[in-house]
Amino acid sequence: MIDESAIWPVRTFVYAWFAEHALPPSQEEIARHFNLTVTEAGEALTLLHEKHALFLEQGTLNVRLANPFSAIPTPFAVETRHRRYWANCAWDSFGIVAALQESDASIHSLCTYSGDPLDLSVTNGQVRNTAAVVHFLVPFRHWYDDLVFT
Amino acid sequence: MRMWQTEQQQVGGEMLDVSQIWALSQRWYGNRLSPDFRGRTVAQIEEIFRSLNLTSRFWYLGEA
Repeated sequence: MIDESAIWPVRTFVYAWFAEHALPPSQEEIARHFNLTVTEAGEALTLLHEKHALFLEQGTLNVRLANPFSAIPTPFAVETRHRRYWANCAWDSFGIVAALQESDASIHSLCTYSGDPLDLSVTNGQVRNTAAVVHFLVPFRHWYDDLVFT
Repeated sequence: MRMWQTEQQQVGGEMLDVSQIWALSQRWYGNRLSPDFRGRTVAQIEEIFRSLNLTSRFWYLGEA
């Protein structure tokens, strides 16, 4: 069984991989990087999931999300100078820009009301289209009851 | 937009404008890639919400 102290470097690695590739690393890539067995890499991912440090696709050892990054395409796309990312929600779109400490980025989404494309941006560290609003449906204390829905 | 906001208010939840979302994102996610990040205590979360004037029951961390 992997030592619990060993999981935090794995968390850092997953986030760095997301930032670099816009996708999470596989269990095998984690094992290779840390010279672990694939089973140990899976144990690390499972422990991180249990601590809400990232979230696995149900019934698998595949990273589904590491807030604010999504491993699968969503209606919330973020484009930086370097690449395009998927966010988990409208808030996480800005969260990706903040996490990457980017001062310029474009966010492409859909208006919940009209279904029309909604383009937002961060320029020189400031947001544009400030008339837009984001609706939080689930109270904070219940966010982790079903994070994908939240 | 106003009609949508009225409908959403009936559904419940909270609406934040983009400036508020950006400010919350910077506080919430600004250090997310740091190797030192280990999550937050309740007190740290409350401090973030308070600093952004998110003080309604929606942002309350206690039991429902």
